[in-house]
Amino acid sequence: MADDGLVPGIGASGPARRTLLIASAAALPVLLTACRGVEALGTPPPPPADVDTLRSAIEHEATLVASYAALTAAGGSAAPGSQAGAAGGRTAAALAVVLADHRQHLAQLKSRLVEPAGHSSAAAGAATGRSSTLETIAQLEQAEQAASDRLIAQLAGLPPTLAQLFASIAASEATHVPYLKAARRGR
Amino acid sequence: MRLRPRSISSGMLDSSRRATAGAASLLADRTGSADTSPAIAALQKALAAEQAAIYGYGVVGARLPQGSAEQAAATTDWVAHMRARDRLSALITARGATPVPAAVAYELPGPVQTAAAAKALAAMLEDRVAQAYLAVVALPARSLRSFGAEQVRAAALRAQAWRGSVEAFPGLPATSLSS
Repeated sequence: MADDGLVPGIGASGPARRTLLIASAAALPVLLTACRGVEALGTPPPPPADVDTLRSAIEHEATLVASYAALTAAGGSAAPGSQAGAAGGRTAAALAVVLADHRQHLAQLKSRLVEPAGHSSAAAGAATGRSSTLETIAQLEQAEQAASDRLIAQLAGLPPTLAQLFASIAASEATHVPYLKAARRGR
Repeated sequence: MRLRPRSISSGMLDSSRRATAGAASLLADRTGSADTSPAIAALQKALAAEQAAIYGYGVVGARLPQGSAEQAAATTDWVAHMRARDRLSALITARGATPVPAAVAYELPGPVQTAAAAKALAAMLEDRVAQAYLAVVALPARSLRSFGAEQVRAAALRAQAWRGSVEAFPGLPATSLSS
């Protein structure tokens, strides 16, 4: 697929990107310390906006992963409200496919961010409630569309390669909506 | 696998061979030298992908059952690509450049004799379009970046409809992903 460089800036640029994020998030306090003395250590500057955006995307992606994992672990097609037989099997298979996509999204997003030592992301909780499987899937379809819209709305100001990753993930998450809908309806 | 302007030695459409070769050559020249700014280059490549898709959907529609829902979907997608082509042409013109012309004919990636092959071609065309628009997403201008992302999403949705399956990273080459 990558035969002609149609996607400039994408390539073996992971380490360079990580370096940039480390530089932007962690090097600034050191510079401030050098200029202003020891008291500057007490007020670390906020991280750059793109780091915040990336962290937010990671957290939302982790929530989706947890939601699909919980639904799959709970039995997926066998839960109340699901369709029996082949249609239920299709739903379970679709959930597994979408969960795999989100795990890949999460891994790629995390690979673009190197957290300072001691920082850990909050554990993501599943967004599912007590509703039936089919109701939960319908809610997840809405969450997929919202996630897609949110990623596209966050593109401004991001480094080019991260913007491309966001746009691709946004496209993938939008496709989950008709894919899940078709599985839910047994088609 | 790609849909590309038909070369002078390809042997199809003898009566238009000269015009075809000329158009293909002009395509290469325009994308390479008319305006080399990153924005124009990215928009021209997206335009070339749209033009190839418009041609390809003509083949797709001809191979789907007459009057079927699938043929209607192909027509809808064909129109969407023509609208996107017009939008790209306007964006390029507004920046003082000349939109690349479409080739007269394009070389297909393989024979398209069945409905299944037609649907596979449609999905492939959408993959190419999505990839081309990701170059627009890399541009710094907020409006172009948003436009590119919306088009990547639209292409991915059409590809999903033709393929019946989903992909984790539409438009992104595997080599661009961290292992």
